Amino acid sequence: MMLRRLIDLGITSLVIISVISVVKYVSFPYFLPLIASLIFNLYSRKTLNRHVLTAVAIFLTIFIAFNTTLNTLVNNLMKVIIIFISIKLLEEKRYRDYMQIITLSIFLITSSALLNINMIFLFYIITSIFLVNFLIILLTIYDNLPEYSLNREELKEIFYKTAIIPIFSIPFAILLFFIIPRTSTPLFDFINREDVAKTGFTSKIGLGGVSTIQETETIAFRAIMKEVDPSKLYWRGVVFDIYRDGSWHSSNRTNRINFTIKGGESISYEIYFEPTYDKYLITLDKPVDLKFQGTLTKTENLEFLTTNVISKKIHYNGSSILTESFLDIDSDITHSKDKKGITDSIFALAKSLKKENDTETINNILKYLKENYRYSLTDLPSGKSPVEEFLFRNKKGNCEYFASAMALLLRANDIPARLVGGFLGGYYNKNAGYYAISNKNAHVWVEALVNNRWIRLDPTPASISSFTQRDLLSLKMKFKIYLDYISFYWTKFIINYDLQTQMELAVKFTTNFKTVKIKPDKITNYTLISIILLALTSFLFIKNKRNTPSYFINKFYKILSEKGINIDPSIPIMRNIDRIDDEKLKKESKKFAEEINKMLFKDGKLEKNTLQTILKNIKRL
Amino acid sequence: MEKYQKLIRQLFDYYQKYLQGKEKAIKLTIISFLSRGHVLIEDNPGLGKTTLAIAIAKSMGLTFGRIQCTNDLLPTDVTGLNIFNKEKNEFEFKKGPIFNNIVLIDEINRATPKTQSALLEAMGEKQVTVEGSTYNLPKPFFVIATQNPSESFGTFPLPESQLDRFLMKISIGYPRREEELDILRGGSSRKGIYESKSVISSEDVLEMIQYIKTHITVKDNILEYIMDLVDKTRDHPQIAIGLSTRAALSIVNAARSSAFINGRDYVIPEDILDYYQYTMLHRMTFKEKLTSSEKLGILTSMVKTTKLPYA
Repeated sequence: MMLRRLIDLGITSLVIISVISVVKYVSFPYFLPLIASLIFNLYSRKTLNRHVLTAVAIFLTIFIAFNTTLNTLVNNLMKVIIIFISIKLLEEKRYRDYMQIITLSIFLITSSALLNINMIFLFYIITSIFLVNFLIILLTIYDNLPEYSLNREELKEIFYKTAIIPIFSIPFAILLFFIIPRTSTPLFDFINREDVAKTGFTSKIGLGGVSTIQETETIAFRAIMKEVDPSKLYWRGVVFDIYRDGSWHSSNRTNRINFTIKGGESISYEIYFEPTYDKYLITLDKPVDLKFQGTLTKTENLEFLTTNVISKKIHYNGSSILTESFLDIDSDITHSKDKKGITDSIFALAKSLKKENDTETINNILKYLKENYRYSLTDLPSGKSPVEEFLFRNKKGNCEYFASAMALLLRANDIPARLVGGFLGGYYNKNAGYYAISNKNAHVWVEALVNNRWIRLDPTPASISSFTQRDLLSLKMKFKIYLDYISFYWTKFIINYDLQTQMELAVKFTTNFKTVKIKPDKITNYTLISIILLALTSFLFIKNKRNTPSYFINKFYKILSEKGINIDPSIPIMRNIDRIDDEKLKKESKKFAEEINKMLFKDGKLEKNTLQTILKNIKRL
Repeated sequence: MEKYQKLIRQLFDYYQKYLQGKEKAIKLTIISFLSRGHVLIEDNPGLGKTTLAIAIAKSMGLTFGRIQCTNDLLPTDVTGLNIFNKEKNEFEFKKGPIFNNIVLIDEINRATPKTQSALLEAMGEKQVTVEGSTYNLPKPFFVIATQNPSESFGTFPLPESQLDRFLMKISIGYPRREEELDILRGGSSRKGIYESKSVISSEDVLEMIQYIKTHITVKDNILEYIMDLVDKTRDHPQIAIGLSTRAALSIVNAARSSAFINGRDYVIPEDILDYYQYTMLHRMTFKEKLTSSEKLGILTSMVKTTKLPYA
């Protein structure tokens, strides 16, 4: 059979398989030109003008791009790929063009995995791998000998040999998975790379401090739990009860702990916490119990501290009751009643807001703040007394100003009050069942003690939706949350990784294999595993490459090129060295050539250290 | 190794003294000589072919013979013939000029095919047969043949199969201007060469040749590389006849000698690639009629696309 015909048939089957894999996701009209192109390609020798086709492709791509939202991103990507394949099929095809069609088809199959997690994907990918291998061999022959026609025997041989690759690679990949060594730090953390140093609340925070936390769009932590009313998602971190010179501090006392927390929905959750380089753990307001591998300290202010700073990803379990207040009969209120730092004008304002009883006063202050002040993230009050600036001049600020002002106004009216720093809301991932809470969600609110109960008060007028609705986020953040899914599983995988789960997974996998049924969230695990596998094999490959003479020769050439020597890798080393003018460099380079030649063509043993030393010397010249 | 290295240095010092401006040609000739091959020089007359041959013979204390080819040259003029000795009353073999260590065959393409084949047989077998008796040629035996590049009437170009018997085909080329000026000032160095003493003995030479044959390492990766090159010439669409096994063997031998004169006891790719145009080009037959620079271009790109054995 003529090679060209064979290639066309192979390409057609590959395209058909890739299209079948996405047939569910792309509307039918898009397939019509593709089918036409396939038929055209098989039965016509003619080709269409490349420029015209490219123009059409660009036009259609722009058209689709304008109609793309985040939800239709993958679908539209598929459409574009299908259009590209159709157009490529119509063009005059050389080796390069065939390779492009192959690549596009593989993209299509891969993109189907983004929308659908089904065992059938395995079939698509294996078949396509086989076809691609087969086609590449045919294309290579075609590229060199266009007129060659394969006989039956040759065809059979190519067919069998290419079939071996996908068949053997699969069990081999599975086998490899079980011998991966344990790792405790991420190999690649591509989602959060840009800000390695995490931020968070510390025991002292100046006004404006929260806004700096909010500036970083990284994920602060993730909580696996059921979805709850977002207005109840107050994540408690640090309690600030000391106010000094415009900044808040935490007393961290642990003497008298006598809380009663009840009367609300009980929630248990599992938190995967990013390193903060501080000791505070985040809990869902109001925490009842916390389980953590390590010593925990509970403070009088209902905070949880670890003994050592959190310098790596950790995970812990907690249970909380979603209530707005809790009983604290034995509270030490020396700090929360402290009137230090309250100016006369604040006292005057506090007096004007006072009502008959504490509850009324509190409501009046809340009402006053919400009505007379604007929420803003920019142009924040500053100066010597930022709270005064906020209350009487600027009149706009973020949660810290509202909370600080409220706490001071309460204290001025003899109501014990303190600030709670933590996070509000979060973005729920329904598939994986967890909340992703970013540093953007950092929040401060007030707790006031009335009738021995600490009541949560949030004077900030910002609507809760800004902390829970994805649509209100920046595009970058949206993308981040979208991809966070991967990052989260990665975190989980890293933290929970141990041989036990490996073995369990292996058993599960074999049993699953019999029933051919894999749950969607399990798939993510497998995807991750394959990513790790890929990374590891490529890592091994690179490692291995480092031990070959060609690695050293390439390195040698690279160093010489950097020194401005014109290197031709297709000629022997010594002839490249002849091009060096500098005597010293030439001498050292000759040394290298001699060593590597001796190793390659005399002893057959590679002395890595010797070569490395010489290379270092050359580099230094 | 040390001993032979000293000898080879002495040799090159000698040539440095008497043969200015011919370094490349000397190197190639000596490599061919040490590899037990022969060399074909394609060059215009008057560029010092004879001087080169004499210098090589003199430097090693070897005998020198010269055959000027014409179209009436008979095979017996080369090999020698049986002459009737009246006193002994029997035929006696009178050795021809081929019975020398270094033989310069001038303008080999002027000789008739019959004479050419007698010459080439002597070169290949290192023996001659006259009227049923076989006579061994002296050792070492080295032929420097020359041919005129410009096409002229009355010549019999050597067929490719015969060209294969030459390890290298080289040209001397014109010397550089300063060197040529030196020659003009000093006159021909021929006289000096005739009066000079040999720097090494013929026994040394034989030992050295034996040493190269047995003691220079050629690793398999080098041999594989040579085979890659050879295979490429055989598969090339523009080449009718690629390199023969004898050619491959010659390349290996030349590489050994090259390694040796460069002071190494192992062959590296440079030993092959520095000489590929001299060892390979004349042994290949191209399908079309191409100029020699076009042929070299094809060969060079072939060599450059062959993966070097640096793995």
